[in-house]
Amino acid sequence: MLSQDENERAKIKLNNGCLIIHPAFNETLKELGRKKIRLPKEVTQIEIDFSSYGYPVNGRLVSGIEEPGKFELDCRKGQKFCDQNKICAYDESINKFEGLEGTGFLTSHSMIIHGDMDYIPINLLTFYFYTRSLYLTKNSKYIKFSNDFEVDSKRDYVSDREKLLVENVPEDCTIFIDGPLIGGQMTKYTLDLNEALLKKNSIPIFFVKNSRSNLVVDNVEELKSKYNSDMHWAYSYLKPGERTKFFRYVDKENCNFAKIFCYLKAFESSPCRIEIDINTFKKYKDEINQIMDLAYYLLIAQGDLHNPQIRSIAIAEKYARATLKLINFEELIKTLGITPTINQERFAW
Amino acid sequence: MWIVVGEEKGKIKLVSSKEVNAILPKGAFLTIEDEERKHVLMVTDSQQFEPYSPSPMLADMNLSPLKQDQKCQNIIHGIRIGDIPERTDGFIDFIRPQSLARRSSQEEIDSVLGLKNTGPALFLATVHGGKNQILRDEKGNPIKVCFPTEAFYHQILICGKTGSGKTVASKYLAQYFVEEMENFGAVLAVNVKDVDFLRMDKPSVTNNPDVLNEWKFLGKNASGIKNFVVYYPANSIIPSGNNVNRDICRKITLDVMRLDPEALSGLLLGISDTAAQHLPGIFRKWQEDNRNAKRRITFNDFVQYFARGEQDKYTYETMNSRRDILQVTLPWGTYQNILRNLEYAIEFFDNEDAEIIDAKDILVRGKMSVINVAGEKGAKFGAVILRHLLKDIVEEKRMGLSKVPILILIDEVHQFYDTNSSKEALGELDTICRTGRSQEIGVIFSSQNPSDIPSGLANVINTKIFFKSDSSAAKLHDISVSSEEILTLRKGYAIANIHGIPQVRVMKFPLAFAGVFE
Repeated sequence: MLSQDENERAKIKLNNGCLIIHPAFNETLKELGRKKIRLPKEVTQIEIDFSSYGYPVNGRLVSGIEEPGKFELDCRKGQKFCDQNKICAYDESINKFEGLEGTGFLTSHSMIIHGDMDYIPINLLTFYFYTRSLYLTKNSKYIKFSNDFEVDSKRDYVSDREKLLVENVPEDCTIFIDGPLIGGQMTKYTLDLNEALLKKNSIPIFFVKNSRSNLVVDNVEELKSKYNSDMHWAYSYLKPGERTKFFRYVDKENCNFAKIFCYLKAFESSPCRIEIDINTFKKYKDEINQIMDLAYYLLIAQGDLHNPQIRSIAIAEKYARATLKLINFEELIKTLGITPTINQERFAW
Repeated sequence: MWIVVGEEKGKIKLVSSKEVNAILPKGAFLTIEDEERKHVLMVTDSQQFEPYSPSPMLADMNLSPLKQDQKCQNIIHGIRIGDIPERTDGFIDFIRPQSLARRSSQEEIDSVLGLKNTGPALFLATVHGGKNQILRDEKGNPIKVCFPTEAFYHQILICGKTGSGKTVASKYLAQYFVEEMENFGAVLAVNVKDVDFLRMDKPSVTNNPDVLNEWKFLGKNASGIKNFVVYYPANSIIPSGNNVNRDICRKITLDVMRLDPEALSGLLLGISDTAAQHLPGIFRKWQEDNRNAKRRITFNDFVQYFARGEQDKYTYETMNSRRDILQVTLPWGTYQNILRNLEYAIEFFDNEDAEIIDAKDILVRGKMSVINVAGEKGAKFGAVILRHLLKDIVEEKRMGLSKVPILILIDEVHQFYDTNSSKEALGELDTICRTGRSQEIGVIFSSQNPSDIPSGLANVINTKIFFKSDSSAAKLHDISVSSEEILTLRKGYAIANIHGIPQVRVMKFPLAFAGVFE
């Protein structure tokens, strides 16, 4: 979690945007140095694999949000909406360091706001180190003990994301967030984020690519056994510039875990899924169609036929990657003596 | 502001900050300040960069783009020109990433280029994307650079197409030389066409606001040259109706007995026969034989003497510069050629109502002398008198009889010296070009086509200024320039390699204060 004390934050102003370094960032690195924990020179750039987050099996698909069929999108209306409204987006970039003593995650959380003439970036850099060694975490405030660093790192990730967005998303905006609304351990945090954003009169829209979900094709009678996945169905069913009707999903056990979603095909390539929280949908029902047009417009603006992406999310991703380069992390850990030399790597055991 | 990104292939790379809404052109200067020093860079490459690289798909679909996607940045590469103050411990400072750069001030540029504030002022300029502009500092003031006065004595070549500004530039430099240079120099110009140089006594006339602003910035006004004389051959006239002041025009003639024998070779332009090169020796011997004659000797006497050579089977006695007496037999064709040229030149000599001028008339502080050789037969006369005066000037300076610096302007030099002239055939011109620095003699060669410059001179010209020309012409003289750059130069803008300030590449000459009528 980010420190509550705003003064602890090192903010580097970048034009009108800013880069926030997590207060534990430097301390964690120093502690690694003090405990002579080494990080490998080889870094893995990872993406959180949202495709592995299917819907819980105990979920329930309820259709009937809209009339059956598909809907043509109007990118001109999307353009108009874009011109007249505040738009934001979020994405992240993560570098993973898997060492002998544990695993480090350097994460750049990146949010951008469509400014007057430019995108305004607000980035948060975090670094966490997880280990199963109680010895290493003893007397350490910053090195985290973890039996499952994959789970714990994601928890920290969604927590930091929530903090960054809630604090920085302007009121009355539409924000595109890369990743699903409901999925795995992140669901609760994401729903909390959604609720907090709604309180700011902002409209969170979750954008999912590369999903292997089959909620529609398994639950709609006439589609059963015909398609490999929902994406497969949507690709066959839609023409470029169309979306499916909205579906509603509700968790049987926890009716708060619910969402509205549809598939959208911008180009003659893989469709994407748009997910909206039920409460968001209710509150902004009249604007949802315009937001779908906006998503289509932003997909065209990005113009990537092979890997369709919302333009604003793509820009956020650019900033996320650029921020990782900006701080020259490799040099930093080398300075602290955390990187093993080649010989150490070769002959350490 | 521009932000230092780092170094790439020996050049500093910078990117524009948000406030910059345009491209800083090549040739501009940037200053980066750190705690101890200022580092001055010259922009060698500057281009537009679209950080978000938007897809063209929106435009294809006739949709408006995201205005945020239209953001452009200016990516610059620059070379370090110098530091203020320079380090003295044998190291060179880093220019650190994320440092901020701004446009350099006049003082900073002067400091790193080692410029003295003396010499004719030129404006630093740029040609970028087909656009010519004067460089400006952060306050919008033009950046000027003073043409080093030493460069006058390292010989200058000015090239350019008609109307590109080369004559105006020559006038500008000439006026500085006679009226503003320390102790004032003298200028000798050869006018080969129209009335180009004949009205330098009159202030220039222009209503062009850009020119007037440039003059205002330099603190100058139009003004004619006060001590200005036009000399013209007695066998020609200054055409009426061209607004040339007759009161400052003087007829001149050549005195056969005072004429330097080598000058006579000026009559033989176009005669490639090496035997023809014996003419000065024949003439010298004839002059010597008639030195003590009791009657007035004229050039006509020499022509008759030469014609009588037919009776001696074209054999003549010659005297070389060491006064050795030799004999030479000319081939019949050469004899005929020389005779024809001598007869053609009779009218240049011994005109009783005309003055005979020599170096003393030219080497006068603050005086500009123009010899008008425009018109029929002018080039032949010019070729002879130029050789004669150059010899006389060199002699005067060598003997220490004059300490007046002199600048000689020769337009279309190929009219007076064969393009393929060897070092020997160039005679005093070659001597001047090689010893100009010690003798304070400078020459400006001006030509539309640089290939007209005698090959023997090409190596001794240290300042080359190219106005709008063909790029091949500039490349011939080792000026690195693209076709686009040199062909898009506007009037007054030039690409140059100036002795003493090699970093300065593109410049704008102010309009001359005298003798230009727009």
